[in-house]
Amino acid sequence: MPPKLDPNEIKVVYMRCTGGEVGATSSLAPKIGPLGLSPKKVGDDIAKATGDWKGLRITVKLTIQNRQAAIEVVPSASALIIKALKEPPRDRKKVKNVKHTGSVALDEIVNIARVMRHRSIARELSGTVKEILGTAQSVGCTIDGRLPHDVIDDINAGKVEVPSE
Amino acid sequence: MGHLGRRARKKKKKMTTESLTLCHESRFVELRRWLKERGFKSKLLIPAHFSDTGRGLMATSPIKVNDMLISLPERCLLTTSTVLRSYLGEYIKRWKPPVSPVLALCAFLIAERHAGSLSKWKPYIDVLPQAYNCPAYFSDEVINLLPSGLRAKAQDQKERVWELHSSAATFFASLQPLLQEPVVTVFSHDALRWAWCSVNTRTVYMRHPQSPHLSTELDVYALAPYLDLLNHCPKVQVTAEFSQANRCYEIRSVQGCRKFNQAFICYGPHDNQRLLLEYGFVAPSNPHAVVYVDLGTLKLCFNDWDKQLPQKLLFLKEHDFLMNLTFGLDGPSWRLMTALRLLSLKPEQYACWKTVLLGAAVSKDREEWTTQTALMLCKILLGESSMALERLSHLKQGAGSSMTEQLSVVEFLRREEQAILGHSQELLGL
Repeated sequence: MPPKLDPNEIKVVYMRCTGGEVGATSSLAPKIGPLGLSPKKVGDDIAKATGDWKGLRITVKLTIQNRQAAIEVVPSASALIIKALKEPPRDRKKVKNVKHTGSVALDEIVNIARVMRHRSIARELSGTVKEILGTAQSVGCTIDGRLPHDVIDDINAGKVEVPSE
Repeated sequence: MGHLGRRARKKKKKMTTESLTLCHESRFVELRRWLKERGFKSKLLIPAHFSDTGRGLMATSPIKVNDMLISLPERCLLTTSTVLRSYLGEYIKRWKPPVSPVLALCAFLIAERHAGSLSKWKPYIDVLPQAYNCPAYFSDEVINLLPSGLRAKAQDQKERVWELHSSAATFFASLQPLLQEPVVTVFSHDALRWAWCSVNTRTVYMRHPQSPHLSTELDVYALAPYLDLLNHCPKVQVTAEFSQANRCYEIRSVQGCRKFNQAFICYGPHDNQRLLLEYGFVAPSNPHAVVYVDLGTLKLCFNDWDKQLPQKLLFLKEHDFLMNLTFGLDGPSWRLMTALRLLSLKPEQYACWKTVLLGAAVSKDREEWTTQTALMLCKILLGESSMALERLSHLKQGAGSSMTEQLSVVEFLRREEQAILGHSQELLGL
């Protein structure tokens, strides 16, 4: 007996894949096949929907309603930072061990923090900004030419103002 | 652009669905008055009769994107807690083992319908249909016209209602002190079937905490007067939930609706077979529509030439590949083709069974063979469908009005099925 408007009828699948590339069908099939979708078609759709994120590893959220999938990109902090670096698109297969040595403006970092705000457990935006700066350190980039950890120290000391919202 | 001429006006009138408001009808006047007493007013949506879907709700002013469609206060909803608070409550609480939530709702509906003008819920009971188009009401000859997978489910539904009636007979007998007439005439199988179909076709999803007086079955049902007049359209999107903040069941429209058009909601992403089984109608141009291929039909395509067939079928079953094999609007589904590809393999290709299920390609001649088999399946299903339609047209002559209605729903289902299969055949033939 199904009541109408049952929210459980919609299935959500998260997948990690490379933006703008058509993944191998064999990697999609075990997850998507049982739900009745064609892995090939979904793979093409994912590649189309992630065109903005060419060459970046991102998480994709598939909302599946009875054999129809809606695709949404769930950006991670590192993907957003690498995107903000505006590096030329590279072929992942040919260029290995990519180093991200660019510089990002602090305003960009704050913008990224706003995007990630609802997924962060920090109480204030400055906390989220510090989380993002930590990710920036591990990505290897600098903030306005300075090391991310120096910026974090500045925020802690109150030398750099972060907007409250 | 000038004005339309007479012919164009006539043509336009024919194209659009006609609607006729039912606001003035006494039962809807009563229902709206009754709802107003309970704190619900609806100027935005009024009941109307539409030429294509029948009874529905019409928007009297444009509904914008993300606007509230309807917000029904908790007091108007009929849930198991309403039943437990009513006069039936103590009988249900006393009964061991506890009754299921569905049965509690059914018993309440039957009792209220029997009480007639004394009932507090009379305005709502009055607008409920007298009979439904669900398989529970179908005769055996109509059920035989359904596709084989659906046929089994329809039989099952019929049996379930019978079983519920026989298992609940002792509970119903305990309600005798409430009634003047013998309980058997009031809580008859016919009445239970009506109540069961009312609950099945009209409830909306609403999670309730588990009541200690009811069985452990999931209690997610709420009968929502007025809201249940909204019809289903597979293309619209709505968000619906019970808002804890203002204690109302709220539905928001995602796309909006134009003035004087019918406001639709989406019951869920169901295919046409499921819609017919649960709600007794079939949606035209449903993007979820599919034709199922069941094991019996699949076996027709394979003779004894393949010694490995039993093992292959077992392997498919283990990997859950024998369910949900379909032809859809975009041709045969991936699952169907994968299953067929596996079945096509030669004995010496045993090693690649697993990789084929993961989507690996096989040799060209096997691929061709797979397409041919899919075409054959298509033809078998088409033949079956047209035979059913032929029998249906025989039955239609001299059928009663309720039977004609049932037959037309089945006919519609079969016609949609033929369209899908025809399209798949074209795709495969290329």
